[in-house]
Amino acid sequence: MSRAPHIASLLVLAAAARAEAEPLRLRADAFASSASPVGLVDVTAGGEINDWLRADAVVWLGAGAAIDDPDADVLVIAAHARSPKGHGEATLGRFVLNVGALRPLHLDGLDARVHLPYRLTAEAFAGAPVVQGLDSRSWDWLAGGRIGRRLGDWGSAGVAFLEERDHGELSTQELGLDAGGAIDRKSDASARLAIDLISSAVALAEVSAVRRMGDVRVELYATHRSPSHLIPATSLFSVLGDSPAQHGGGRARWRIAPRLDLDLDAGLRRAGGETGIDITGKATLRLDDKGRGMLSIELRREDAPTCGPTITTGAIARSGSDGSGICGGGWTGARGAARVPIDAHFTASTELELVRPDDQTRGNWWPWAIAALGWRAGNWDAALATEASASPEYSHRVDVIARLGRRWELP
Amino acid sequence: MRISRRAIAIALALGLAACAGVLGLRSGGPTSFPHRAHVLKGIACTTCHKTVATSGDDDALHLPDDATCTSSACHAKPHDPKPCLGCHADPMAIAGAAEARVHLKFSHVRHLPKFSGNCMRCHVGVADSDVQLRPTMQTCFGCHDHEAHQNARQCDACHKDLADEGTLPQSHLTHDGDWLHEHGARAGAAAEACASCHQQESFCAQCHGVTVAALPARLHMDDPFTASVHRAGFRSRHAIEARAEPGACATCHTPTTCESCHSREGVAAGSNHNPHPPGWIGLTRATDQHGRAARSDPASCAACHGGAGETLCVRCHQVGGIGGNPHPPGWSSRQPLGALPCRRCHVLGSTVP
Repeated sequence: MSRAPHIASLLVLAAAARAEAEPLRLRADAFASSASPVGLVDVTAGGEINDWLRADAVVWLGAGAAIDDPDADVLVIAAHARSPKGHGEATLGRFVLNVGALRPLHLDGLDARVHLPYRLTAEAFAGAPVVQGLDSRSWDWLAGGRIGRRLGDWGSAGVAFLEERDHGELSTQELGLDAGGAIDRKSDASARLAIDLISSAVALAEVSAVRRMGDVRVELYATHRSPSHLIPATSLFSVLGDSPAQHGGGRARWRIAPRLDLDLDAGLRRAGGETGIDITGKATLRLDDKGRGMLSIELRREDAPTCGPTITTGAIARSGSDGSGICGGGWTGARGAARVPIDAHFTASTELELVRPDDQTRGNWWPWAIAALGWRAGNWDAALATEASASPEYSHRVDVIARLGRRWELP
Repeated sequence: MRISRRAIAIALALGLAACAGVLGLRSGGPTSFPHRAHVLKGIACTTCHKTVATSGDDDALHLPDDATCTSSACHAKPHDPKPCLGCHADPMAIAGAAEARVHLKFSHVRHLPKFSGNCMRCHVGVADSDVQLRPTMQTCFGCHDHEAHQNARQCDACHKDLADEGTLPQSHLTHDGDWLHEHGARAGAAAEACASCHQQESFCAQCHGVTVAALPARLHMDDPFTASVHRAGFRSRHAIEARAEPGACATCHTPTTCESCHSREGVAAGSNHNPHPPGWIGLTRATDQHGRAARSDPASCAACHGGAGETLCVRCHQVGGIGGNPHPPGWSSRQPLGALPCRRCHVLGSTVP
């Protein structure tokens, strides 16, 4: 087990001791399951130490099926400081960083941002990519930055750069462009583009536009994603080149009645030279004005490319036909969910899913269900659930899950 | 026959009435207070909201009591002994006012004299309807220049504990669609705006962290409406979904994620559950599957065969080897031949292009 949780705990306690301004929030969840991980403790803490300094920490400690093999890690432990007049801010520690069109980075390092004249913002970061625990690998590092500009009160745009080294070798070199904003009171749009400079290919392109028309909200979206840019350039698989996947379509939400929403999402996917549809219809009914009780039903069809041509040699009738392969088209499924308050403290909930895969050599139906009872009183909350499922790996499986949570606010 | 039709008609009407209640079309509960009707009658706001001009904003909400309503000639004889606002006020609007009291730094007493008691200078929504009465931020910015605060994301100039307020943005970053799907593109250009409410370092890590112990859907298993990736029976579907959108997995997962889980579950090469189907490696292009799959989603191959496992590939896919040239047509790279992975095949000094 790493020393990370102990170090994090000390830092969190140190932060708590100095908390003065906003309350320091601390939340701990103990989680137990009849399946691995059988036990888990998740601690989240955060708060302002004073007007210019804030600290955050997320630490977990888990135990697998073998109780003598506990595991733990620090997900976040960071101090965030900002200048008194808000001209700049910096974060130091382990944290997740979202910079423009670059994919989210989980790093041990430093991020600094300064606000410049003409609504410009400059940001720079450097550190080591997170590996489990507080371990590190020699000569693994990343660095980059972003320059952005706010466009009036309605939007912003920016350009970002990332270079990452894996054991000293150039692993990722990426340029990101992003823009987004409210076009008018009813329309929004945003786009981002990441270019892999090593193989001179588009790593990620994403655009989304939303229009709100009374009770109807419509979004059009398109995504182009290259899988190859996500593996290190030092991997042999990077030489396989850029084989992208595209996904585009539209999504609409219609508030057909004050408590009833209808959602429809229809799109086309293209991956591995094959095109398929992705369509989802969903109805959500709130049982009260605040949405404390809720029902939903969802139908979905998702295509995925098959692995290859049909093989008729010998005993093999089709790809993946031995019951263990990973090939075989998409799936069709239905999902229902309900959350019903019993009284001020107790809530009953359930979620059911039934999936029918196209390749039925791995089972005709993959059912999944959970039924839970939640309780909340003051700063305490708890839940007890039973989860049952059948999948390609097992004919049936039943797990019992329990959670006990406590929230503190320290002055 | 007539009776049955009538019965059907009555049942249908009752059913529709019941549905109307369920759907929120006719709640039968409290209604919004008719502000607009009162304004059109020429009644000044402070006639009812008396305390606005006198007391501060740390005391009770500035709502009129029953005595205020019945003191006027119009409502001198109330039709019901119950409290007026129990029926003639939207509870959500009152809750909103209470929330604003807790989370906004605002003084009615200081503002009222500047507008000669004209509340509609800020509460412009009264002219349109009785629903949206709380002024928007744009209304505030009509007089106050908060650009410096906005540039610096210093929301605490006006807001108290914004993260706990629960007020959602009104445009651009409105979380009213499939926000889980939309947030990536939108947050890319507005990460600072996200940080106004979300403590970005830890909030994003709940899903995007390298070593997340349990996703929100798992931790909050008693709430099936918790926004989270990998919902419900994702464990069964994950291979299909990964193939439908290659590369999406690696947004959060490292190549070792798949390998470690498959090894732990005994679903890996060398185990009883080989993840590859028979005929995975064919001797001809017509029968081969692994090459096509690898080109479609090299990240999934690298999940198990990355690092030292790549030597398995190099046995065949080396220059002059049985696997031939692994590069696709038009392949180019800025990597020097002496660097990884080129040097696995292109031995230094080799004349192979």
